[in-house]
Amino acid sequence: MTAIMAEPAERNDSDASSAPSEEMVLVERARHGELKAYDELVRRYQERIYATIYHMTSNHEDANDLAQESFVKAYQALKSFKGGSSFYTWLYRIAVNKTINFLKQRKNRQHMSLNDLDFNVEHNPDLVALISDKTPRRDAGLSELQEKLNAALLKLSESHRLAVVLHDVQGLSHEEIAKIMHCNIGTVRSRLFYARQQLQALLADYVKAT
Amino acid sequence: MSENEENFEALRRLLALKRHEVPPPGYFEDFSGRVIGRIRAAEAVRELPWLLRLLQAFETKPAYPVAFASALCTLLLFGIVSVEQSPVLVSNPVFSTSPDDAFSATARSPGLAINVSTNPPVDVPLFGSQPNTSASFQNVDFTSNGN
Repeated sequence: MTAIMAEPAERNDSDASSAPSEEMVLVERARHGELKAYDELVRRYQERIYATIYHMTSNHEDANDLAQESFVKAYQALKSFKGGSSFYTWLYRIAVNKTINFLKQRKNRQHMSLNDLDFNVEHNPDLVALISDKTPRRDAGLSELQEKLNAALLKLSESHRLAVVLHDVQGLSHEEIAKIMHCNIGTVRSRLFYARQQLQALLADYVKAT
Repeated sequence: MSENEENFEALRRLLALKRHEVPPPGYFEDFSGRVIGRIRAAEAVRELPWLLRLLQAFETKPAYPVAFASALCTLLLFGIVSVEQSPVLVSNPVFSTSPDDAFSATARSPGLAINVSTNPPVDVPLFGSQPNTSASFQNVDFTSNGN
């Protein structure tokens, strides 16, 4: 299993552009009821879809259900996929809409069941430097930091959280986010700026501006 | 990188921590299998007749049977209330809940009464009235005469 769930956008973009025809063939086969082809599509995007939903909900069980439901819904709606955007943008949109609807319903029961951090995190030089050198509260453990980070993210509105998750965690480009969120790039930038400001204020004890 | 991006560099590095939050080991190994299983189950349900689909929905979502039972109770209550308040039925003593009314109605309107007996009709003297010798009944003395 991969240690890092989401890689930067460059990888996604290249994925999308390198084999679009192959992907469309799979989509076409799946559209005709070939589950093996759809299985291949699920395998391609399962980690990214799961990660996006997980970072939005901060809950593994919810992310698991929503990710599966998103793929099922996408399969059932394949006939409506016209190919105007790439399959994964379309898939992201389904997952994001499902997650936002879920979060609206869950508004009043914000509890978290955080997953454990993987062991590689301790070898991430950026994070080690951040914790040991730049963080005012040097005694803060990674778990505590993770908890505070998730709590701060959950305080953002869904649209602002989504912008941060897709850009700063998932590494998608502004253009991709604009397509997924059905808005223009300027809106994405402003949401991102506002969300970061909010997070900076909420995590002031842990983040010292450079 | 723009100035804004530079201002948030520390935050972005902190957010990178999120990438290390992983699901349980082996989670993605059978993820697609679970998705395909759910798709197959959904397709199988869609092929069932509507009654079985309804029963299946009752099993999977507890809110459905509760809603169905509530609707049924409401319908029943509505039926009872409307029967009791119906002007046609209330004015007709045969359907009245009072036994006196029903009895008197039968007496007044013999046509409405349902005669289920095959015996010939007889005149029954009311208690406390004088014995009528011309009636079909005679008084019988059951006391012993001492012989």
